[in-house]
Amino acid sequence: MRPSIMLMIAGMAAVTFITRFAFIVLFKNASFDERLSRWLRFIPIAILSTLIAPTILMPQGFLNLSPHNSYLLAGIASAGVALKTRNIIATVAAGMAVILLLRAVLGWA
Amino acid sequence: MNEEPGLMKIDGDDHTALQSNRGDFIAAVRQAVPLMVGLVPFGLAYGIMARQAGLSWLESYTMSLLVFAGAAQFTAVSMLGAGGVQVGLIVFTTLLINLRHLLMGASLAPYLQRLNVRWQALLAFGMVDESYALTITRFTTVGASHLYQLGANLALYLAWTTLSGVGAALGSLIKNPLQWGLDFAMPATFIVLLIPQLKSWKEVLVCVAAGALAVAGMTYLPGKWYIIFAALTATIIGGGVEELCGRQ
Repeated sequence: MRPSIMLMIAGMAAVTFITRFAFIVLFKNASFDERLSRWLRFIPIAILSTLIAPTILMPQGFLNLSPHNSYLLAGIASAGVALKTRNIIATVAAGMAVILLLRAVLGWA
Repeated sequence: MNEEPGLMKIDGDDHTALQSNRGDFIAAVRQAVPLMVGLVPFGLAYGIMARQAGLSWLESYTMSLLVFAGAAQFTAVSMLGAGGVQVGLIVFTTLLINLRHLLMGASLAPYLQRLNVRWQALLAFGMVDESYALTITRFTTVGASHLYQLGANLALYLAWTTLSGVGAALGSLIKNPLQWGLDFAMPATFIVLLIPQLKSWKEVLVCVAAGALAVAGMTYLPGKWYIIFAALTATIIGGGVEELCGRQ
């Protein structure tokens, strides 16, 4: 274990635990501010979208909206399956199947 | 662990209450099984990605043992893989990614107030998206049970850490996981976590804004700053729209 990596893991562990523990220990009577909670509910949506968009829209590092972008097509297929089933396994399987198929059969990136 | 005296205090001295709590633990583990299976590609892909980002097996596994936060760990190893990223930026990004846990903790807080602080800390450590989803559903429908939450947490913790370890062991063997389509497991999992949250046009607006800002940010900003830039800006856009439109 390199010291810089140990430092990183310790820092990540600390901030992760703080975010999980803070409101459990601070909020004694569930009087969570309604206005703040309306703002906070956007955070997971914003972060998930931020992580998804570049992997699907720019897999080679630049914006690629062409139908030859296999990640984009797999993303659309996954979103469709997720919308219908809400099932993690089915969604992941559909996306990976589309990617593998396009690569194996058509040789797309 | 189940015999800890603190537990008796929570449940009173009623023997049946304690027994039903043990049943809750088993029920939680059972209900967690589909989510554990869902973690398989995710956990393996993390381990493989961590090794390809240059982490050793022990470093990859230790991160899962101590951090236990899938999205943050994926982001950290992809930042490491890109190179030239400072530790402080990775820790700060982890904080931002995990800010969503504040809200989860707040919604669970009223159910956990009767526990002592050690139990609260133990349950908080294991609170991930999947175990939170199981726990809050159980608490609001069947009733609060700290052993149910412990069971859900523990099941997902064991699955995540084991799969990470296996993935990291395979990581040095698999030269190019992209060929296996495994690199798509992460965005696909994020998609299935995201879709149910898009309940109204405001959530859809935040999603589209974050995606567009992420693409722009990745093009024009150095390193991984686009994550912080896009996520914060999109959250502020959502909050601003909420304020303007009133509280429907």
